[in-house]
Amino acid sequence: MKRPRFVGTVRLIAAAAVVSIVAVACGGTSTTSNQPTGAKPTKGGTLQIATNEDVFSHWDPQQEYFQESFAFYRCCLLRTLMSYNGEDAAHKGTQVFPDLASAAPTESSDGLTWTFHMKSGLHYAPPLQNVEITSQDIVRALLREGDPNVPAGYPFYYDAIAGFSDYAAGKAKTISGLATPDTHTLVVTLTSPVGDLPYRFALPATAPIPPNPSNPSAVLGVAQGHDDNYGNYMVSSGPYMWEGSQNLDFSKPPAQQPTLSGLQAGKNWSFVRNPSDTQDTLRPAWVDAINVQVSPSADVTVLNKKVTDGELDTVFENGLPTTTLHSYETDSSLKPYLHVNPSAGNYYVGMNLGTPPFDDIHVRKAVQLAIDKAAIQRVQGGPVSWPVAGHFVPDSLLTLSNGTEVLKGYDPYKTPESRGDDTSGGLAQAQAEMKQSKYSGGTTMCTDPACKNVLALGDNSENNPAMNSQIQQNLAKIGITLNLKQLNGSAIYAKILDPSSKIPLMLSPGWLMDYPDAFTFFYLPIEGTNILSQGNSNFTMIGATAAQMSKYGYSVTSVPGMDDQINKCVPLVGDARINCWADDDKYLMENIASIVPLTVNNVLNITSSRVVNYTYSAFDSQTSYSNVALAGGGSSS
Amino acid sequence: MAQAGTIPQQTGAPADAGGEDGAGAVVGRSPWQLFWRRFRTDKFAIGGAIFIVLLVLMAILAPLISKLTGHAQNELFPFTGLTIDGLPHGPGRTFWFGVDSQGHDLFVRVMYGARTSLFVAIFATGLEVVVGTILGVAAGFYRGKVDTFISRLMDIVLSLPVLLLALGLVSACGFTNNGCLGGLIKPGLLLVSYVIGLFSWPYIARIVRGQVLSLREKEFIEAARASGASDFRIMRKEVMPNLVAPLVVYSTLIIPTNVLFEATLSFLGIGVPATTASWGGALSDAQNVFTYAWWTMFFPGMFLLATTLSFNLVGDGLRDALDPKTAALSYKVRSTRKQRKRAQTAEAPPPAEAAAA
Repeated sequence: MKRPRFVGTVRLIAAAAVVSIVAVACGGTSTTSNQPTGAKPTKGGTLQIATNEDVFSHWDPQQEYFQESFAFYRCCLLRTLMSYNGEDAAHKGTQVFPDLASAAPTESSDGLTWTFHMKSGLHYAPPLQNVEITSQDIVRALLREGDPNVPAGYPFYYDAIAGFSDYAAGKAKTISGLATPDTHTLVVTLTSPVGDLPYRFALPATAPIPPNPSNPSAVLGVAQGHDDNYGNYMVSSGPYMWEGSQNLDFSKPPAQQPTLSGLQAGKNWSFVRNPSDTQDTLRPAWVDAINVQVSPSADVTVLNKKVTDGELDTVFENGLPTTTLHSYETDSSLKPYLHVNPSAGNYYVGMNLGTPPFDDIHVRKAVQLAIDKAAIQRVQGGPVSWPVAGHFVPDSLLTLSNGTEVLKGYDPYKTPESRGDDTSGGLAQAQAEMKQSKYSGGTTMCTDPACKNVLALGDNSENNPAMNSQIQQNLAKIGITLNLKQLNGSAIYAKILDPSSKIPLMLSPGWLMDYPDAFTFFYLPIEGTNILSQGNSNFTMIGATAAQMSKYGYSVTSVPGMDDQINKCVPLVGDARINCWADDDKYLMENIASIVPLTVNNVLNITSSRVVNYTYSAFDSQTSYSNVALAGGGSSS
Repeated sequence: MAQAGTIPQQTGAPADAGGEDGAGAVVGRSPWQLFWRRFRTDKFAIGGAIFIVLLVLMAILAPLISKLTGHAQNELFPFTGLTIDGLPHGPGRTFWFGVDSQGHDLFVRVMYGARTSLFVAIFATGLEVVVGTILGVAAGFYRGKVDTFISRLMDIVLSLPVLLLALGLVSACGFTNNGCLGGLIKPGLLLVSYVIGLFSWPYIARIVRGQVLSLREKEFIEAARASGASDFRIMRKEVMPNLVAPLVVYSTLIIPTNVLFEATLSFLGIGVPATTASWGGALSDAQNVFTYAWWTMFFPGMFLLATTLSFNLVGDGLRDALDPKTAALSYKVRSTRKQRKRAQTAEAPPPAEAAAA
């Protein structure tokens, strides 16, 4: 999924170096507790969180496709057939476990039929505490995900279900590949084998939607009539529910139904304990309530200061301001409350294959060699914040069953000290590559007019301007001058998500796994068939057809792609699948080279002294709010 | 006796002739001499003028200064200028003003920032004055429908949300190399100056209009009209010379506003490009680190303050020196104080006599 706004400095937090609690960026050990020995979790209290990132789709579970909403859905609001334990990778945090399902699904020998059996006696939060969660409710969620009237977040993950595409195109009234032989069994029939189906049924879009007791015939249950705003009426199935959930009234027409009082868009989110939640082995849910202050324009430094001062327990973010990190690293009383954990996300520089001079692979390779990744690491907060990346997919997703990281240390564009053209050796490498380009005129510099004043978009927050300046400086040494525009993250994405904007160079995009499989790093950002007119995540136009390039106004009509290589890996499972993805990553780096990976970030958080049992959720790449507790059950607050 | 064609000397103003002791021959002085004599007594204005001269020198010599330090304007020093966790180093032998949050030599950036401020000061203010003067003269001289139209235009322009428009212009014209209107509107320092100049002209226009309304009733205008001079000739030969003084004064007073406006736009990220040093841009960059790196805010802030203060002081001094009424008032006040002091000195016994007594 897309990374939220480039929170900057330490957004991609690097593990290792400074703090002994983090071993390796690829998903090794991470800090799990910030408390003095002997602290024992006690239920109770209200966890106080702040964020300066609002969600994008109004908390609609079929629309939301964003790290923040995914985190709160998983920990707190929604249970799915399969889910995660909210732990780090070392504690199986990247594996899926049965949640609403009573056991892992069974798969037919041809891989085309999967059967899920569900637990009995699970109920929804008030006001539907008497309504049992059934297999039909899962079907209802998928019907909504494919509903042409609902701008769903990621329906493409369910295209493999037989009949889903026809339903989504309005050609069918149901999804033929979903069957419920009884109230606690779901049979999924696929059009082609998909090795990661359990992960896809761990995504929040598949969370059950209850029927409307006042309107049993409503196809979409309580979501009927709420195509754009179901989030305001969502009934929870998780250990927490929205405050005021009990006041929902589905007996009224949709337009007259009261909304969730705990959901104050752009201001505050309030979750309270769901009294109906039972048989939940994945979420201890120590705290009684979670309160999230939403301040979209707030200074992250100020928010973190509130954590230090005890006004808040933590901030939802991926990074820390450099000054805050410095304080916590150098103050022994604060250091125990600093948590550094690897994520499965990256940040990279993207070169648009359809815009000269980046239509030339030698120019792209020269750029790969020119960028001083070590200097960028320094300005972004150092090795604690920003480990240098050599390839696109995080190593944690390319790890075999025996723990071997297939592409560990792989960097086809390695330069001395990773300093790009800021060393004589790196400069020579970059210039030698540029010399082979049609835009160099046989020289070592990009001399063609297409190389001058190239439009580049970069984030303007935190220390990103420093990174942008560094890249600008490096590219100037190989003859590419930039027309650098610095905007906030939302504005940048608004531009680059539109392929017709033809932005040549993107300095800030990032990608985070949707679930722990490398497929999520290829399907949207790399596959040509997923180039969309709106919400396009394939920013560099990899695999675009000539028709697509013409449609979006490009003069370049032929660009490289790798759709076949990607599709080859989809049906595989186990180590064969991992090795296939690793080969794809190498192909992407060496034969397309439109993406310059800068880092696979680590996540830095700080917590207040109240927080015990700190747990990092590898799936969310965030603090595991369902697993942390407050000292004394919050009695000290 | 009033000197024709220049600043009329008001009655009641103490006669400068004969000096302050009232004795000696009458010495006639030119308007420039009169102006300079008044201006130089204002120590604050002189101080401001000296700083402005230094600022101009700083701007001109910025490349030389950069060469002396060995640090280019846009050169980054991530390894020598930043700590391992990305925080900037403070003032020292290598970086005299320290390093900014991006790793630039802050001293060099501050020097180059003077160019941005002076460019805006001169170009944007000049544009504002030219447009405002033309429209203000037309409105005041012709009156009637012309005045009504231009006055309403002023009201409209003054009502426009300039910051929002600036944001929109940058957003619309800033994402292609060709800009807008066939390249006429391109992002950069020029666009910033256009925005400032073209949205601020009503301030000048209103002042000029008022002055012209007053001047057009004077006898010399009537005489020129009676002698058959065209409107254009009258405006050029009779009206404009009498506007020079107030225009000079108000220009210097507007310059600080424009400099601050550019700094504000750059602070918000819609001003000059990142590669162009700007004090406002430096202040914006300092936001996230100033609690640790005070120098990142202190030096650009002090230079911005000193620049705006200097222009304000010079403007005040020019106004006092050029406007006979306020000049007379301040001169009379100063003269009265000196006379009172002389009188007190004359009354006091000499020290020797006092001691003997």
